[in-house]
Amino acid sequence: MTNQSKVLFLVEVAIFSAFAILLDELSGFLTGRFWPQGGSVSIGMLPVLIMAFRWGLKGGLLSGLLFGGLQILLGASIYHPVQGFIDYFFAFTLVGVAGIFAKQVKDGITNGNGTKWIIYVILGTILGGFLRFLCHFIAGIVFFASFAGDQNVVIYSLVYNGGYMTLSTLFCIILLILLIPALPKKYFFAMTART
Amino acid sequence: MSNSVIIGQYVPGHSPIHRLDPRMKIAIIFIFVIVIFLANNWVSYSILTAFALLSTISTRIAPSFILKGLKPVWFLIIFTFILHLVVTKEGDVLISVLNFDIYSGAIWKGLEISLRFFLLILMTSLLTLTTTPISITDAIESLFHPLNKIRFPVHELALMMSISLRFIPTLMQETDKISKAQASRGVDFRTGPIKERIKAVVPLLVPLFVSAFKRAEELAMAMEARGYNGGEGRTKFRELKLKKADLFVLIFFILVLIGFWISRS
Repeated sequence: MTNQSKVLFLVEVAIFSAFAILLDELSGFLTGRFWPQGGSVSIGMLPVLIMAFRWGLKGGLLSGLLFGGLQILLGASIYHPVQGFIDYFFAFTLVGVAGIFAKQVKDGITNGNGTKWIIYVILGTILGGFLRFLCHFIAGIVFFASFAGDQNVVIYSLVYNGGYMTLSTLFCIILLILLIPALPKKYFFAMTART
Repeated sequence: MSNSVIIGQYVPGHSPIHRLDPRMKIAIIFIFVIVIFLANNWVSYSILTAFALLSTISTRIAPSFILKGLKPVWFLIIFTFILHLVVTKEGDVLISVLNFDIYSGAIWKGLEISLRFFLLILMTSLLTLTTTPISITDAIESLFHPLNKIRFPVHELALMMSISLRFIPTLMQETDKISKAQASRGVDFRTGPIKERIKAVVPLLVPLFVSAFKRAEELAMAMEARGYNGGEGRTKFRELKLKKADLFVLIFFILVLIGFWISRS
């Protein structure tokens, strides 16, 4: 990466992480704050996914990490050190794994191949969303095992976290498909030569 | 819209806790959070509770305000307590309600877990209540500085964190402006079926994304024009220095820890 695009990369990922925090706060319009113990249907992942598809794995992981870190700084629901770490650092960072499909998405957009980029955007978002869900699922078990010791921990965590994560991932897919064609194409042209 | 959204929890003030070095606060809270899980009798819990309450009072933030901030977790605390009443079956049967026995061990266990929970959340929220996000970022950069040696980009991460924090309010204003502009054109994303709401939010998101891209471009250009090239040799506007009061608090905390360790059974 040249120095010029390196600075742009740092700044863009930072601003998009701030954007993620903002969208997360505004997501109440979707289903309201139904999930009482943190986590909700949210389109906060959207900017992280955009960074993942634009800059690849590195951009996705980094903006996910920042998104999680910012939530902790701004007051997150931490009930247990391990749970806090998994729920914020691991979970959101892993959303960025969607970036492994960045090349295919950009190829599709550059060549005007509509089906191709849509398929890879869906694949990437589902992968990122699923990995994030796994983290919340494990963190939920850690949390309940340490505070409740109930036997139905696994099912509870599955239903609780699976519920909002399925909807969030679905909304992100729909919005990405509507959003990406509307954005200036230059942001998604294959930039492999530059990065 | 921006009136209803409060970003962060910082309450401005000049209390001893506010003025404490943020690195010290993070270190103490980190240790405290681990130590809570090692408490195992009422003396050790009392010592930790006393320390937490003393810290809370020293922030000079109205306790009612802090408790209000913990509102979403009250439900959880009560829920865990009730769950323990139902699940734990140790000790003597105290009361029987409708063929349902409540054991003495259950009450003690429920109280213990609820207290642990409460202390944990109280202490972590004291950090965000008395420290601006930007000083937490500075503190983290300073604490993790040694990681630079293994080429972990501490400086870059801290810089990005500061940029994000700086831009949250800016983006918020922008969102407010654009959503008003779109509302005046008749876009309504707060009512109607969910499908319509999602469709309506696209005209809000597109300009926001484009403007975020543009802002990033402008900022990157401005940074390059001023010769930014990474962490090497860069000086700081805000410097962190340990003061006497910080050392005093540290010694006090160590004494508390020693007392705690002796009191464990």
